[in-house]
Amino acid sequence: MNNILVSARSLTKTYQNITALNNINLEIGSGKIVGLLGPNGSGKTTFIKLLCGLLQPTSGMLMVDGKSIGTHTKSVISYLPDRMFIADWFKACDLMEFFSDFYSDFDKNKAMEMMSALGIAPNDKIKTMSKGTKEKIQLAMIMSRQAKLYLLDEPIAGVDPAARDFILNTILTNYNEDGTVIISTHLISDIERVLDEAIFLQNGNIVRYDTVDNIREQEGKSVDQLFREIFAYGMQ
Amino acid sequence: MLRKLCKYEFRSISRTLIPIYIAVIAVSIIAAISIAMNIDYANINYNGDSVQWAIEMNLQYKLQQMFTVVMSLAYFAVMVALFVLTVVVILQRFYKGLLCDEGYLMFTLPVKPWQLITSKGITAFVMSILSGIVSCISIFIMLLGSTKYPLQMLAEFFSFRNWSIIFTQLNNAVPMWGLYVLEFIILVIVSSLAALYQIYASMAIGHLAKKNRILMSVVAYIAISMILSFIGGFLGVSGIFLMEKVTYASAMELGEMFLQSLIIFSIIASIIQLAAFFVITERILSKKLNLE
Repeated sequence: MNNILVSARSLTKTYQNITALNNINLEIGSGKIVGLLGPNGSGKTTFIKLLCGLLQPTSGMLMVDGKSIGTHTKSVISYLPDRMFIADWFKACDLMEFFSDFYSDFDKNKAMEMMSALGIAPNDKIKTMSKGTKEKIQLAMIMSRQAKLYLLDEPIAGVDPAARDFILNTILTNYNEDGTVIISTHLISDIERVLDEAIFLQNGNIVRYDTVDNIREQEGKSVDQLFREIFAYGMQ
Repeated sequence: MLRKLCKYEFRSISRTLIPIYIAVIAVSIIAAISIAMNIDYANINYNGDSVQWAIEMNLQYKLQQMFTVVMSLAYFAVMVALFVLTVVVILQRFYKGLLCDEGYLMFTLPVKPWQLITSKGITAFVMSILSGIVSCISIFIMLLGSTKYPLQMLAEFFSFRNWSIIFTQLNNAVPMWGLYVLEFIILVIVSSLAALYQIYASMAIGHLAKKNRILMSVVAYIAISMILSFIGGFLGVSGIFLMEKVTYASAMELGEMFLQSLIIFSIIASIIQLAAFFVITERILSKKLNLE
């Protein structure tokens, strides 16, 4: 499972005069859980948006599953944005129909199971659900796909610790084990235990990309501690 | 994929418009009935002043008059609502459905941006036609209510003989009428599609701005309209000069030629506009998409 799933070559994204990503080179393999770590404004969301085709790179090359970003890569990427992206007039069953219409890797039974575990009936309207339930239902839809690449943008930001555990468990028990999960966050201590690899982003540059085991071995400290050190240094 | 996109688009757009269609038809039926009943009272006018006076002082008569006025106002209100809602929903389906949070879902689907734009256009076009048909039906219902003999009018409207007379006369007067109708229908279709995609292109251009995107969309729309009317005026003036040079034809032929060339020219111009607006929208949403 060491074939390359994501590869970026001198990938750069600038907005007007702000450089969000600066000459990024990296390769991410299959079958891994990767943390995309960095403070706010470090380019995490920009990188994820480039991967799922919501942004176009200013220069450089980006490939997923051996193809440049397009219809094929979109069909193998399961993306959870940092906001509600479901039309609120949808019912839970409409949502499942929508996903199975557009994604051939969507497992409807799995989605049904997760919905009932959340206590959501097929005829419940999204509009009437609480914010937390909406977030969970989105995650359930995303994780019901057998995708090659899961992109989760800040899935645990702004939720209580119990919900955080639920989210992490949902991710761990449902992701396609041949696929890769990329989780962007600045809450490292909560997800450190599930990560295989960590990418540290700072001001649009990769300051470190390594396996979590290597970091622990070489530095003799946790990823969380390393994060605090790197970005504390960066602040001064 | 385009069909699936249209399916969800129709669901979403009809959710707002079908209720107003039902309201328009229901209100026009009630208004037509109440108008028809008033006409029955009016028929008694011939019976003399005292009877007329008695009727006018009657409470029931007054209430019914009032009800008719209220229903007519309600009819006017639902017709305005139908028009406004159709326009608003079409704008909103593009803006909210693609350029706001829902865009995160739509632009990460394994479909091409042109398919998204086409599905929006098809559904918006079909729904505006439906709105048009519904308002025609409601006007017809109101006409039925205002005539003395609605059943007779209905029978005449659906009588094959009447239509064949109309078409025979039309054939004699304007032998080419079929061509004109066909050209006119094509013109209406392409020009309304061009108008629709002008709105889409304006919103896409507005999306390029960093902030005040709605305001910039409005500015873009006005700017495009001004450019178009400038070009249109220029071409119109040169067309007139061109016509003056054609001296060999008779006045009748000249008139027909003028009409024909005007329609065909308008169709071509609309197709060019439609293509340009489509390409502008598609390019911006493919290359310059930047959801907030």
